[in-house]
Amino acid sequence: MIQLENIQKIYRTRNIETIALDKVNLDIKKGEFVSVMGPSGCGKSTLLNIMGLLDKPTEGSISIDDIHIGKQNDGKLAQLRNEKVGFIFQRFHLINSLNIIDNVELPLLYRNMSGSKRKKLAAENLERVGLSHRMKHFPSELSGGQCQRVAIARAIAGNPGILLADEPTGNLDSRMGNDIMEILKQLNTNSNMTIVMVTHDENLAKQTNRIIRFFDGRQVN
Amino acid sequence: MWKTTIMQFFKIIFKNKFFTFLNLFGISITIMIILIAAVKIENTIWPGGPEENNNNILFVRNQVISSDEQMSMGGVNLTLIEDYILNMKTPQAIAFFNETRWSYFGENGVEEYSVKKVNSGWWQVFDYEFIEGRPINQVEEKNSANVVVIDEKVRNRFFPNEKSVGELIEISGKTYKIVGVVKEIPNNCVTTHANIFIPYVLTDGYYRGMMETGSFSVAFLSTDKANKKLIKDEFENIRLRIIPLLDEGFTLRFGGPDSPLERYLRGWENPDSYIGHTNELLIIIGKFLLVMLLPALNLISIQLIRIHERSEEIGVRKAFGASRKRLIRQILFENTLLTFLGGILGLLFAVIVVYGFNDFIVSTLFNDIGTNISISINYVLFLICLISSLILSFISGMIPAVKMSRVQPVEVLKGGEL
Ligand SMILES: Nc1ncnc2c1ncn2[C@@H]1O[C@H](COP(=O)(O)OP(=O)(O)O)[C@@H](O)[C@H]1O
Ligand SMILES: [Mg+2]
Repeated sequence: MIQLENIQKIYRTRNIETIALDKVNLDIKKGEFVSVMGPSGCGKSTLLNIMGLLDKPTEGSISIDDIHIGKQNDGKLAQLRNEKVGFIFQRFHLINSLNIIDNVELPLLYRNMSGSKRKKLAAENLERVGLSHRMKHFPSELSGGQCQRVAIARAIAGNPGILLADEPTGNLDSRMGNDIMEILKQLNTNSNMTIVMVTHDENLAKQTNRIIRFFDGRQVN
Repeated sequence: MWKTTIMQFFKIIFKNKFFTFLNLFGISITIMIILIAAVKIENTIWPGGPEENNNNILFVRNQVISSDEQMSMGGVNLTLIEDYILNMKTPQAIAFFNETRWSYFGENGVEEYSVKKVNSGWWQVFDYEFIEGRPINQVEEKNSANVVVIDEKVRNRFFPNEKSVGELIEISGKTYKIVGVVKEIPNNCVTTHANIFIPYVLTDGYYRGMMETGSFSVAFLSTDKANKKLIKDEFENIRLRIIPLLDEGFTLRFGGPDSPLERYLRGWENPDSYIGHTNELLIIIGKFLLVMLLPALNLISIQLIRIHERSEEIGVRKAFGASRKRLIRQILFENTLLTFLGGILGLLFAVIVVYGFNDFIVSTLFNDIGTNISISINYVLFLICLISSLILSFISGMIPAVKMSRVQPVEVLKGGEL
């Protein structure tokens, strides 16, 4: 599902070169649930951003769902993100001025889809995370755990094959964190979603199919 | 897609009341001010009342006699009027007037009345509403009869509750017989407004030499465009015939004949400044655009400030599949819609001010109380304002929109431990 070959990412700022990723090779199969672990600053987020086509590697090649990512223009990349990938962030990043259902609808806005179909899909996905009774609420009126559930509903609303979660439980207490983990596991088993999750929590990582460890931009297994 | 964009737009602007207010304020106040200024300008150029049909009237306000060293400017000379202008064939009617004041020392102190000295053609060129009697006629003019037309205000002051036609009235030490009473004339009818009208022939001591400027203004009644052209040509002919009669080295120019708009553009002070009304119109349009630019600049600066505030939203949208093009489109669309709302709001304000506070506006703009100047909003101008502000906001919105679309999701959606 996701192939990374020889991926290198170098940040150059004022004479300082940071090698965020160094010759990373990864093959993540369809339906796999992978966790990424490693100390802070070792390049985990950079890895996810590159997988999610939000960032471009300095060197190396990527394929997503057998599509080789090369010289696609901004519009094409946006479309691929829209169809193939759903993001979940540590700090949720819901749009505060929109209510819950509108937030979940977001990825569907960038598809050719009628308004009623979008609303229906958004409502269905809110139901999957158990928040259909909060459709008209605003993010500021929800708890952290609820916000992350909304974020998950948003990430899966467009039915992407891949979920990229960057420390999805990092801002939550362990009980809420476990709730989120349960939802992700279900999405993995029931909907066969490929999930890559960055986490610092060994307990959560143990529940996934595979743990990839990073240190200083390198994979260390 | 547009429907959702519009819905989301409304949700976003209501959640960001402060910025929405700033944006709307700029555009709506500008449009309101332009609409109210237009009320003033329009009612100055086309004041209605006796000047209701002034688009058929050509005005000659003043004359300039000049040589390389000297220049004198003043009203039109009476000899010139009587010996040349009155002989013109092309106008339907010819009016001329000058004005003075009459100070009446009554029980309650000094009362000021405006007096116009007019010819008999006056009443043909302008359209007064008589509530009693009739205009001064040609026979009375020829015989220098001591007759007068007064307005409602003078009648009510000196002949309360009675008919006044046929009565005598003493003005500045002379006694006149009243032949007619006209409805009070609004203040914005600068040309036709007066409390008292007397035949110009009753005064003497006018300057008569060709080298002198006089004290009169002239108005020609025309039928149509072609007729106006003929009048202008005939008038130009007179000018060319008179120049040789002046002293060596002098030339003669007139402030006119002008249509109401041309007369407004020419202004009082300096007939020489008048280059041709197309030029002046361009200047007015330029000023208008300059004013319209203000809300556009307001919009740019507000949007630029908002980039920071909205960067999270932009980053999220990009992460979930919005292309840069799509975001630019969204932001431009939002600006345009906001500007549109601002425009409608501006119209609403103007309507409230102009119709809701009618008396206040009339007395402020025209220094007039009680004569019911009927003012109205120019909706064509509103459309022009709206469209030009939409275009300007679209163009100026490009800068912040492109900047916003450049926001990098990676930068604004940093996860991790911060
Ligand atoms: N935009 C950037 N400019 C310069 N250096 C960066 C940038 N983003 C990340 N880095 C550096 O790259 C390394 C990896 O960062 P990141 O992927 O965020 O690590 P993690 O998510 O594992 O904490 C860090 O040393 C970080 O300082
Ligand atoms: Mg990170």
